[in-house]
Amino acid sequence: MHTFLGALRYEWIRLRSIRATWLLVLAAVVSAGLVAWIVAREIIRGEEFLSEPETVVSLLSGSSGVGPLSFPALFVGLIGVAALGTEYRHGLMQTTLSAIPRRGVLLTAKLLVVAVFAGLTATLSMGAAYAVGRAEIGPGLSTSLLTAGDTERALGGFIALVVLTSLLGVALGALLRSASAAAVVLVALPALIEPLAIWALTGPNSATGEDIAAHLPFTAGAQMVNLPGGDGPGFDLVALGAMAGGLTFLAFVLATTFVSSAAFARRDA
Amino acid sequence: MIQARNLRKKYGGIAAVDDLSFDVRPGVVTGFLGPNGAGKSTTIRLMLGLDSGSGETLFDGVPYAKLRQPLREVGYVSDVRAMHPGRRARTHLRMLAASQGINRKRVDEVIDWVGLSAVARKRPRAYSLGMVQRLALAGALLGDPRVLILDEPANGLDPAGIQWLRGFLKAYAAEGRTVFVSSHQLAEMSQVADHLVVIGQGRLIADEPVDVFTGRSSTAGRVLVRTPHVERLRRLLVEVGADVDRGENSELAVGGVERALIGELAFRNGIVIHELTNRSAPLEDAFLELTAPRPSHRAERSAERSAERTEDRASDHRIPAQGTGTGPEDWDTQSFDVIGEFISDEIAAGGAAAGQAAGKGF
Repeated sequence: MHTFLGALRYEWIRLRSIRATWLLVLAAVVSAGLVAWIVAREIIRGEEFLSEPETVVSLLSGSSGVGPLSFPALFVGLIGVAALGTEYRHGLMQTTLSAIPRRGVLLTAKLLVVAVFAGLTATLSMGAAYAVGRAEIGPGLSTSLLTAGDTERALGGFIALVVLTSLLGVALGALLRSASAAAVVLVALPALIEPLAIWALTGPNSATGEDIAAHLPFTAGAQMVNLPGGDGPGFDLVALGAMAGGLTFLAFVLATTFVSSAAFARRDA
Repeated sequence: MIQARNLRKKYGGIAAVDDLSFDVRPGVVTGFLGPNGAGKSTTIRLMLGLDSGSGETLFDGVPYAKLRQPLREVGYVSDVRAMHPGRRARTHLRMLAASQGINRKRVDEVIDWVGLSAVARKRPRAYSLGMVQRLALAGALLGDPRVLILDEPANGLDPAGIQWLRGFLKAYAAEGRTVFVSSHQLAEMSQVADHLVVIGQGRLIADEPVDVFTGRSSTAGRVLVRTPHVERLRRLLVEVGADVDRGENSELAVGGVERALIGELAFRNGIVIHELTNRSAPLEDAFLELTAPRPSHRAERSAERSAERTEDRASDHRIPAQGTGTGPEDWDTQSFDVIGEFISDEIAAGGAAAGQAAGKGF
């Protein structure tokens, strides 16, 4: 336990003491604010309605509207990538493992610290989005809207999506041992690979293909943020539902983490 | 005390470290020598569990991975720049300290100790290589460990830094701690190490005190002589049973007789001597001879070879020239037939007394 607490302290300082972390936090918050401003302008122009819960969720979650991609989740995922990727890049892994030689302890501490940091960043980005929306729309955007219908659940799902994406980033960094490669995979999966896969899998009379497409990790994970009757992550898929979608994404993250953990335990520093 | 046992590591089927076993004892500085690519850094990483491989290394009986607060037991300086260039130096150390429950006061102490106080709040990307090495050493000293493992610690240090490091390592070992230093800088190692572990192609070549190791050199105990009467002196020395190698120009490498006796012989025969010194780089010579590429490195085999070399030394061997200084050819024309007298004197007075007499002559 003493070793684990030491590892947590190490990771907490490590995460906060490099500029890249704060630049990515800033990017997550600014992107959330920017999306909130765009949605707020649409509301002001009468193109969207605050009375619809999905509008409120869109305003607060920084959704890109292109595939299952959420800007805050993406940037926080890159913070996860840096947890191991930059250590390999700068040779710091030797120093880290000489201080915390039990690799399981180290990886667990990294996952835990990054998850907490991701949760805080997601909350902060939502707060920023709310502040921007409030500044644009005025008192019409009240806190009571956040608890209306399934909005509260969807916003909780947004935080879960951000946290799980950050953990996926950590796992990819451990698996690929390269911050650049892990970042490319993390961005390409939701922004390129899944949309292409959905396009290839779905079509007339292709129920099986649609079913598979709905289980793609980020597409499924995005269901945590969607509301019943919503459009889904930019595609007319048979929605899995928030719980099933969340569990599907969680299973993908856990599987990737398991493989990464096994590789991390055996590889050279 | 470090006990490394049967360390093995392969890269693509090629053994980088091959069944390596040795002990590193406290109270002395143990040097870890080997040519580039011999497997020194890999061995150290295996010892610390940083690389995967087989074998076991115990630090006072405990494997590294089982140490509860490893930096309080073992300090390690890597051979690479193992730090984030964008993290402030003090924060880097504070991060390491936090993992071991070491307080911030100790962080400032080690920063001051390695002379980085003025730049402790700067980022290492602005540091010179020497400053990076000092920061890495500060990290190794954070936990005031009983064991210090340094992989090429002198890289990038200026002469003052190297001198400081040398004194520090000797003092650290003198406190009864274990110091294990890898280096390819032989001159530096010869000044700091008391004991050597030497490897080649991943295998153990030698594990012995420095003086024993240097004694393996074919040049060990040899005397360098520079004289314009080189041929005459060579003949005289051979006649008294000396083992003489002719160098380039006016040099001789002489074995089998004391330096003082060579001087006396030259004096009695009116031979001018420009230089008369004991060979000063026996560690380098021994290292180069023992680590030269060969089909198989074995400590015992190399010892046998060393003995054979001593016996079979041919008179036409050449030593590298360390200077010129040729004299006129006619200098080598005088002849004094005092060989018999010299030998009689030596027998009568004894070797030690003859040595003293010759010494006074210089």
